[in-house]
Amino acid sequence: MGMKTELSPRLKRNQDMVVPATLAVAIMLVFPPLQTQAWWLILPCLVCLILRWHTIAFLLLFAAITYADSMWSIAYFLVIILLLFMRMHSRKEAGNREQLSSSLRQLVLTIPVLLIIMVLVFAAGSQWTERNRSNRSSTGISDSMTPGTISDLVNDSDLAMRVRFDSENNLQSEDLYWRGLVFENFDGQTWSRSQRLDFDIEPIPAEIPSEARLRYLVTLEPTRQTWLYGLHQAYPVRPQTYRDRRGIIVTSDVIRQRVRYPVTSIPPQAALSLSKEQRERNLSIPEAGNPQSRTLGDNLREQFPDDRKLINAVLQYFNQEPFIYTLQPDVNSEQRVDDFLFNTKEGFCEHYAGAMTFLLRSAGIPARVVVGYQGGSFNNVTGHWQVSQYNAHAWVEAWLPNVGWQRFDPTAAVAPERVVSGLDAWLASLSREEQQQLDRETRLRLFMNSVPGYQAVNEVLGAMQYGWNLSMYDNEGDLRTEDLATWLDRKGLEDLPVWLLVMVLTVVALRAMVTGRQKSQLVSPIIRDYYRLNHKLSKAGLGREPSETIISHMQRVAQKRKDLANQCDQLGRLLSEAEYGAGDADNKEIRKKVADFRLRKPSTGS
Amino acid sequence: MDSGLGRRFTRLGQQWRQRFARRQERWLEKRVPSVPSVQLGQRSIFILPTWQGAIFGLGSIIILIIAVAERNPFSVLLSTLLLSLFLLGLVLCYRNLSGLKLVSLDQSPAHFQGHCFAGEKAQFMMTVSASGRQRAHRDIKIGFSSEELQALEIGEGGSSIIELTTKVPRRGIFQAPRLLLQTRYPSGLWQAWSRPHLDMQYLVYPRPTVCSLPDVRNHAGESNPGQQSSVMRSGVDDFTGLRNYYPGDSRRRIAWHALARGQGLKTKQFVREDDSSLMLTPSLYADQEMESALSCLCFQIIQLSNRRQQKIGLQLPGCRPIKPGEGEIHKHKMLQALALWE
Repeated sequence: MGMKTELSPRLKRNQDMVVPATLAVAIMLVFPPLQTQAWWLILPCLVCLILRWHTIAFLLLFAAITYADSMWSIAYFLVIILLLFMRMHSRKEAGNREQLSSSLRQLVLTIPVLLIIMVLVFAAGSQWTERNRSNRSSTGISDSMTPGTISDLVNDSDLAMRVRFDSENNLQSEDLYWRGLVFENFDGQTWSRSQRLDFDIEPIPAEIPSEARLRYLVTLEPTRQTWLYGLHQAYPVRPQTYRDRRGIIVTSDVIRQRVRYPVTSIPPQAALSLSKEQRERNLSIPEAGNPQSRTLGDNLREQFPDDRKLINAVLQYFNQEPFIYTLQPDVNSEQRVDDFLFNTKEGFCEHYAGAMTFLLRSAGIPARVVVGYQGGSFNNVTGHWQVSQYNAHAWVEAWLPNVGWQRFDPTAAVAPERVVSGLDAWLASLSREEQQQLDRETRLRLFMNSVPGYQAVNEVLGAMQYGWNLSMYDNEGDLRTEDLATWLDRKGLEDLPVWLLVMVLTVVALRAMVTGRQKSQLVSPIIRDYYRLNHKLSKAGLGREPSETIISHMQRVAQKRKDLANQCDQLGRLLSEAEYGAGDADNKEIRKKVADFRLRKPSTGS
Repeated sequence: MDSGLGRRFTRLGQQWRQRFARRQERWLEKRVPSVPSVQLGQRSIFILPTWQGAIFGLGSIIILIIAVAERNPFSVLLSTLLLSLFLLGLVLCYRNLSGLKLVSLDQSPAHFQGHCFAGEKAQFMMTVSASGRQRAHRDIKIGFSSEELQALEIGEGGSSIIELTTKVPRRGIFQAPRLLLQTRYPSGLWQAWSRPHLDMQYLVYPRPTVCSLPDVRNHAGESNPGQQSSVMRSGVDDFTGLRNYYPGDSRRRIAWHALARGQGLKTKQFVREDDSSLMLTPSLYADQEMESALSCLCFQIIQLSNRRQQKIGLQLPGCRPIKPGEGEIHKHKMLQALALWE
């Protein structure tokens, strides 16, 4: 019994208060203000806290902190941080009070540091937001067009989107005009979108036969913009995504991660009437400037009363006059359109689209600039189209009576190979001097395209990436954990993860509270074996006396109980040799011997 | 194939490590020179985050960036709190070592902290005290090398005497190696350490080797080293008989029993076998190397000085001979001579 009286106060003193506190913290998650917290991170964090896996615990805590959403949650996380720092106290033997005072002291002392960092963060934060406004943080097509916005993208070989059609079709690269934005406003320099949206909430007209409908799935890379891309008149299926009457697909959220949306496209519908306001907007040109172009427009109008013929004449004009399609046009002066049409005659698609729209408007035909992507490369492995940033393009839509909006591409009139065989083919056909002007990466891209087999390898890699993306991520670009959740829901096990975590937490906490770390860490396995033996002996009143060593205890037992003498002598020798000897003792054998030790009834007379 | 190349690489690695260690030692010698007492400060304390601390700091920066990007003020506050706790850890960890005063317990110059035999452990004592009345230093590990560190706690304004042991390989004056103090207080996110060099010396006698004393009685009568003469002289040890009292005899030698029996005043007479003085010299072990000869001499000094009535002296080449004598102080004088002989 001596052993017990000696051990128990020590164990009591070392009772770890962090474990019950952690359990209380776990239970606090039930309270309504904390129910929105990330229990799936907090509960494992608490488990690791009890198990003293500090690093994992604080990493989980970091992840959970990003979900903090109220003052309640701040108080809650403060408690967890306090517990974490109690656990992380450097001195392993420290008692509860020492741990608590140390971590409280740290929390109080940290307030000045906290204030300084907060000031720095807010100062830096305001800098960031200011810079963000001036810099273009988005990639790809932006929401206004000046000369250079699209030709800059030629050097950008990043992926823009992947498209997979649901059914076989014989669409060619030149048929694929991925409409993005429609620019209607022109201030003499810049084409920009009209911010007014005219939502079209009508479903797809029922009279359209299903063979005229084109169904496909678009996987859009993050653009940090709020519009999507589609063919012709596109009807996407995506939450918080709307159609504009002009055919723009607008989202209410910024596309920050890769999203996927199914689209149904129908051919442009015949629109018999154009509202007065729309007609005005699509005819307006700045009052002053570009006089030569205005005169040209007027002359054309006189020459061709028919709109379609006039448009064809404009395209002919581009085709027959010595216009050059180039990435590095001469810089234009103030009168951009005049300069382009009559002096330099050099430009990229944005110049042609802008000038043509200007001409049509001055001739009295409603016209607008559309930007988006044109073409793409077909992947023969999976059969999807891959559209890159360098596929960015600008073209013209003009309104024809009894027909409606129709697409005209001046680029096709100037450099048809750009539209038919793609940008890379056009770049490859350029002269050597012009190619030298390109970016190094673009030149590498062109060179690699000419290497046999490169395309095939690229296609396989693209197919693998696409397959991975389809299988691992859902349409909103999140990992497919939702699917697991719905599966559990179907099975009626929606609370299973919570219960599993709670169970693990309870088991771990109980184990930590019952066994007590101090005992298990400070006492070697041999001594624990001895405790076990002592426990057996003390039942027979032969427990260790406070001042006895293992050997003397065993000798005393051997003297008192002749029947156990051999066993006790042997065990005493083994135990003390193993504990204090050179350390080559067989612990397993000792454990077995201790386990086998049985107290028989004392033989009569002894 | 691999063994040859591998061995060469390991050797190269070892050489580089040694070179680096020496370089580091030289740099430390310049930066933190050896002194009898030292107060730890900016020059001598080094601090780096632990692996855990590095992950903690990096993680808190990352969630701070995420929180700022998400415009979540609650997350910003909490992640800033974690970051500031990390930075505060740096200050607290540094302060836990800074200002700590280390004083060698025996400060008098050219005085040894103690003595031992080669191969034994030298014990160095030093006082460690807090830097101020309000300052406490907690959870410090101190030692001569990172393998053997002992815990040290100093309460507010307190001080404590610590005893560090280290094995000494060779005889001579042993200079205490650089100390290592390290701490991860308060949360294990940072580790601060310091390598002060306290000027402490230890006298190391040669390791005694068991050996027999060559028979030197043959040389009796010659004035050789190792000379031993045995003459009966009046002494104090062995009682031989009584003689008549002469005035001037010590009172303690008067045989009071005899007086009581009416035999008159008698004086007790003693003799002792004295002056078995022995001169030890390395040439006694001329067949051995100097170091092992010194070890043997060391053994003999210990053995012979335990014997009564044995005076021993020591003659080392190139040194003044130590005249035969007795007693503990004499013994240590000879052992010191052995230790310091060059």
